[in-house]
Amino acid sequence: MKIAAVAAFGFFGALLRFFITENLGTMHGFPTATLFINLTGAFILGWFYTITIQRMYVHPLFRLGLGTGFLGAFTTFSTFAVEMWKLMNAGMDSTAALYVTFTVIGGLLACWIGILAGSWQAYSRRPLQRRSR
Amino acid sequence: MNLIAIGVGGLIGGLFRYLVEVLVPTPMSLPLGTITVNLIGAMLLGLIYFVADERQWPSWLRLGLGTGMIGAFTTFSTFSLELSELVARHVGLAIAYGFVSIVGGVLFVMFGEWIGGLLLGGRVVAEQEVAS
Repeated sequence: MKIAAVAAFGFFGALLRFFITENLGTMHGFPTATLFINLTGAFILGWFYTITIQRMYVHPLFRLGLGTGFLGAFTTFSTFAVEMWKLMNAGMDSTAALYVTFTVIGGLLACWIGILAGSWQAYSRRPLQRRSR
Repeated sequence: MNLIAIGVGGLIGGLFRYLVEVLVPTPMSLPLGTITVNLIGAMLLGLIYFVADERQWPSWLRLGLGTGMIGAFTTFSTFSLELSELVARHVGLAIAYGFVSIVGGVLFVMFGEWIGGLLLGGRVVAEQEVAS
């Protein structure tokens, strides 16, 4: 059942990634689409895994499906690695350096902002008497 | 046709990633499962794109296996989440995790292309000899 949830959500994650890649593509050789996909996915995963623990309780299968299945398939590491290698191969070292920095630091920040947003949302919507505790 | 191939590929890739994440242990909170899927995926994508270019695969096969299956098999969102958890608890491990994933990822793409060259090498050379 868990496997089915991950697989079914993975189907749509991969498709959405393809649509965004088709429409955003690259800018002056810089892989904008993959960066956008990975940062958005990291943000949503941080937010979703936080809010579903602290406030918005969802079915465990839905949590696994959307988190591991959909967002896991939506974001991609292999394409990032291939694009890095292509940039280095083409002698575009500064673009590659920029790309890896934006991806890793940006992913970390996006994830943190997502976790903070989820915690803040869960906290601020609690009943007042519990909040003042 | 392309869309179906990508969707079905994503389904299979996500499923195998889940299996690896469940089966591979996480010693000292180091996410070996994610390292495994990301490095193996990088190698396979290097191999698939190399063979697809050399053999001029139809676009549905290239997209289904590459973008769909391997793209969904590897993951960046889980990598970021695990990295942010590690940074808060053990900076040294976090740096090691990031370094192994990024540098290893690029090396494994090169490795995949090299395997592709070995697999096709004999036949490519043979065809060139026939042509000359």
